[in-house]
Amino acid sequence: MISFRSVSKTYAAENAVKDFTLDIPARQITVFMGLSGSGKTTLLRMINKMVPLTEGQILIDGVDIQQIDSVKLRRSIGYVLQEVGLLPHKSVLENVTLIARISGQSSVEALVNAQEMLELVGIDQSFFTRYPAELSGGQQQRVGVARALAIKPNILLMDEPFGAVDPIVREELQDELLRIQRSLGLTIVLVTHDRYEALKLANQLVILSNEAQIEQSGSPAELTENPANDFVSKLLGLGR
Amino acid sequence: MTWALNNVELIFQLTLTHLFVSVVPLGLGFVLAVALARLAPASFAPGLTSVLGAVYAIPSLALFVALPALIGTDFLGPTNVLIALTIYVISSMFFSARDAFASLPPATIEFAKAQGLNAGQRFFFVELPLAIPGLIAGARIAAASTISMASIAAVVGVRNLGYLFLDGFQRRIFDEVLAGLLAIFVIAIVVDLTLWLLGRVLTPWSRRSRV
Repeated sequence: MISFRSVSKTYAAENAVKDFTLDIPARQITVFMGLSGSGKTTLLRMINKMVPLTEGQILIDGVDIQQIDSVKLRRSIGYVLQEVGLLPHKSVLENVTLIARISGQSSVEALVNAQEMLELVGIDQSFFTRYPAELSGGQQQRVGVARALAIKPNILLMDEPFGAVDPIVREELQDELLRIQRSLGLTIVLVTHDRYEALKLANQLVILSNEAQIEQSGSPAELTENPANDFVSKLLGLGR
Repeated sequence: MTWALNNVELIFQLTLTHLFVSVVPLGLGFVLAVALARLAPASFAPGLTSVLGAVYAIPSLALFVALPALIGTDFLGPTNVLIALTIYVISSMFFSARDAFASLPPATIEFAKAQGLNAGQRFFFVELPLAIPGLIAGARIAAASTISMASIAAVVGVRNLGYLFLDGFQRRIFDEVLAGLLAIFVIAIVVDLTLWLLGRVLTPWSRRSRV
């Protein structure tokens, strides 16, 4: 479980996140949804200490992340971002094995694991020796997911992971993410501004307004049946 | 032409020395420029840019002569020249190195950090390989100017191809000057081709794109 306890983040006297408290249950998908500038990405990047918090605490399974070395923490949490960020000078397979190696796996273990993860995300062996520039956007993101999974994380952070792929591929990737999440029992925190994606993937959906204020949080069914206010119903396209 | 044929051994010896006093500063300067570009804090950049720009403007003969007084090296001999040329390589390569590191793909750098690569791993596995095209481009420019500048070292007693200019000029042997010029030209082309080839070997990924 990931727990935010009165977390704030201030940039030059402006609040990006103000007094944010939330529990993110293990082995479920929690989706942060909000308009741009709502602080949803900031929240995500606080979990792996890419953004240092100004006040409050974040606990992972009861341990304050401030007590954990940043590099060590990051090697235990998978990270997937919209722009993917594959290493352009490494082949598909090398991209995945390199990350596995750095997380402490032996070269054999990393190789086996990388092949398994690439298979899991639906990348055929014939693509293993290709460079990222030789892949489509959807394939690149599949490799991005395989790479994040290769470190064998319990937690996966995803920042608008499918925002740059076309709608058909996006749906495929969402279906596969659900399947992978269930089979590996991952705790996923996902940021999106796509309401369909949010409703489809979330176990816990958190609607955020400015300064990461929680407008409503609950299951997609709870939110669509009982939206707390106009903002929530507008954002979810309920038009009441 | 006859002069060159009669003095093949001399030209060969001078070419080797010329290569030595050019390639060593290139290698040292390359490493130091990369280190400076990567390690100097961003707030030093404007000051560093002005200083290195000014250093590059110092005439090489002046630097060859001034260095012994400044750091106590021998007035005659290669040490002095190696240090001076290294300084020029740093001054010229610093800018291209800085640009090469500044133009790396942001998402790749972000990911590398977020997935737990430490600073050393990010440098050797990600930043340096991706900066190679920019670094090689900078090195090729620095190489051409260093090989040409090295000939001036003949004035302070380093017998390289520049010696053929001095000697040929004093003794009015036009062929000797021409031989020196050609040999320098050949070295410059060979070094440039080597660097170009090195760049291609190190970046096979840059030539493949989506099919």
